[in-house]
Amino acid sequence: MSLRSRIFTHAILISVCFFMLLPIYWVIKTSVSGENLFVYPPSIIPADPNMFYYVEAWYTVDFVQLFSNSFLIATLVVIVNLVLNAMAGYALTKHFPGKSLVMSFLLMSMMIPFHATIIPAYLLTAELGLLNSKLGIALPALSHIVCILLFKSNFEAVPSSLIQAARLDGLSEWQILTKIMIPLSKPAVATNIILSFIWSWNEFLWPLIVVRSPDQQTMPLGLVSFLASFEDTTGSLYAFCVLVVLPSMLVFLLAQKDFIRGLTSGATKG
Amino acid sequence: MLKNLSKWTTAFTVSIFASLSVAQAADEKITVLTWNLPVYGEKINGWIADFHEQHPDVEVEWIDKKGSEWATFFQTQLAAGTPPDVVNIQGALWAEYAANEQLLDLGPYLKNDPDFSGRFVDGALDLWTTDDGKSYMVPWYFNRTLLYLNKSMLAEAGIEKTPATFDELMAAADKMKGEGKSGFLTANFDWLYWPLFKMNGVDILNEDMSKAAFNTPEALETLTALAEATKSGAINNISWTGRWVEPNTAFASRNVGMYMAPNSALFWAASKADWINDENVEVVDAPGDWWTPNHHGWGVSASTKYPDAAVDLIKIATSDKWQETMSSTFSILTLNKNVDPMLIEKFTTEDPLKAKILTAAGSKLDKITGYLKSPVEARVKDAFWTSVQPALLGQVDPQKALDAAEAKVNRVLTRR
Amino acid sequence: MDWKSLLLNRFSLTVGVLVLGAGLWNAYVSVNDDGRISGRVVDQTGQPVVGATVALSRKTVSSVDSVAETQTGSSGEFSFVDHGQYALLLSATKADAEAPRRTYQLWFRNQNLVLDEPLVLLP
Repeated sequence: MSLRSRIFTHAILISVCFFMLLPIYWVIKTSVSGENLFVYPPSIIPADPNMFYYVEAWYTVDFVQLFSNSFLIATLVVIVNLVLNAMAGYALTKHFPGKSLVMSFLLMSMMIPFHATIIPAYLLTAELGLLNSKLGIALPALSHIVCILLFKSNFEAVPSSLIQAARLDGLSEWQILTKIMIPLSKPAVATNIILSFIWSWNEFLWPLIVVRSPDQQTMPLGLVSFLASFEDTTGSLYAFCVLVVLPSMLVFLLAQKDFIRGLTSGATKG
Repeated sequence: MLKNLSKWTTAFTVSIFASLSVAQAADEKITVLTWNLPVYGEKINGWIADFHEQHPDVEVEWIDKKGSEWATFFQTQLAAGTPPDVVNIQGALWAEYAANEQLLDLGPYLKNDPDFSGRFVDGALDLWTTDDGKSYMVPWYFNRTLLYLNKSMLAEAGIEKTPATFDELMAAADKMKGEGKSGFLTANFDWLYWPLFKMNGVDILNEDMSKAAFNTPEALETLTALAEATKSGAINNISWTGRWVEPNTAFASRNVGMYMAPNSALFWAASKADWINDENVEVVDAPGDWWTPNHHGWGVSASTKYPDAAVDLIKIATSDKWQETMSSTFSILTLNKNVDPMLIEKFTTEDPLKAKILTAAGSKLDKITGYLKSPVEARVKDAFWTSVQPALLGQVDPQKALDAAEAKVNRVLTRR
Repeated sequence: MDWKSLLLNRFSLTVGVLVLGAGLWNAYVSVNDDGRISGRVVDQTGQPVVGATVALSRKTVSSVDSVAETQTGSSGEFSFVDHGQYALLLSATKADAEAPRRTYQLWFRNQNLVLDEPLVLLP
């Protein structure tokens, strides 16, 4: 690439970056300045920035409770997703009668939005006696079809000679999955962790419907306390937004290297 | 290591599963749903304690949902066939549930218990009574619009007489406008701005609520005058944002001459600004005495298994004892005959402006406007406002806006 | 098992730093959360005011609630204990003189506070 085209590419990338980061900057700026959205003209640099909106956000809601609820649920979701999706993904690399039926069933279910099935899901959860419980909140997120397919495509990329060698060595299917497939599919594991964590962390509608008492609320539900309050809570609302987003950002940053490989490995598979 | 990992994972998952699933017990249980009152939990537990004295074996579950999420939650519960037994509903939203037969007619309970029906001020129950005489809700708390005057700005502009007509209101607003100052401001979520139209003889719908009735020459004149006054700065353009904090803050800044808003809005502003007191603020009814409510009531789901217990809980919530707590906690009217006068009495010495405002808010209950007991109220509101708002901000020709609003509203009304 | 690689990877380190930070902060909080406020009230000339009423209040949704009141001592000093707030307002009055309400934002509930500047009574 010539110098000129490299400069050109970078100029475009930087300007795209700028527009992508602007809203994030705005959230952080408002979280330290508390500037009302209707202030005109808006200021680019926060006037008199301070961290006290974070203190207010911390005490306005029961932060520790919300955080630990969200965290427990997300952990549960991540672990169960890894187990179920890896097993399902591995099964789908095999040939068995009705496999294409199962595949098309999975693909079809992906096309039905969750909102359309929310009432049956609610009734089912109620029938199981899991309303207003963390398990009830986690239930619909315990397996994501996208992640099953991700595992499947990653597993298919593992050379079949390796699997046959393992089989000759006397490894059972379960051992092949845990000792060969999963260690060789780190990107898929990372992607699974990130996606299921973020989806669980950000989920709003389902917890809203299943949760009945404040002690089971998750972070996004806590966010509403600021929106609905009759006070001018702009500063603490944005501070809380930052606190809500931080954990998923952290998870993403920690696992992003493998995540990006995980997303692209299926695409480049021969 | 992986073997260990999977072992730990299994153990961890099982233990989380075990600790997270909460067993749901209790055979007899009623659920109470409140509207954005998480701060009131302690008092609600007080009702529940009182309730248990009457019904020791009925468990009570209390749920609170914020205003913006309340409808989503309630609708889902209705669709799932498990609605909360006792519900607190804001404004005219109940009419939709009543029309769908999802609320219980409380008429028989009111008739059979004179103490229950007799505790509310005259006309209060009418707010939730339909044309066929059914009473779906009873009052919990009540706010309504009033006009607050910034005395010093009025005096500076040489206005001695309280505006008694729309034209006088606009003329006064025009006199008070100036650098950083505006003459008039209105709160406007729901139909709170409607008194401005009603004082010019404009109704939202016709008598039997089958057709839009607002596309008249008077409405055109009103809308045009409001748009012009907004453009000139006589009316503060925050009026048309539909927000709560900003208009209140604007009035609190002492740069607005007249503010039309529910009484709770003024109390909010007064908590931010020391100047808002009996000396500096006058409270009057808007021209024509018209007002729009912003109120809350209690109803019972039609599908409840324990209607008697549910009504008993409402009786406790609306009793003198608990309404006294309510009124003093939030400085609010309860439409309870005994409680409201006590609150006003208390404020007469403590805070004369509050006393004056609450007295005014509790009077002239027949001059209500902008309150549609229609199952499509929310959709009519949206249809009207989305068409008319651009005209108020001077972006659309007023006549075109009214035509568009009429077509939209009529479509909503015929579609049901 | 290779403990070193298990401990010294970016996941463990991040979590470790976070836990350590939270631990230190909590230790700091537990040492400084007696809710003690101490300060002085002076008049316009800087002379200490004896017997002024100092009011400690907090902001709520609809009003300003009084939390506690105290009188200043012989050198104009006053103190509160266990105030229980994370944001508070202080004002002082004596006869017709009044020190305008001042807002103090704290880093945590019940934080100890020593007023750098005295409350100044204005006629």
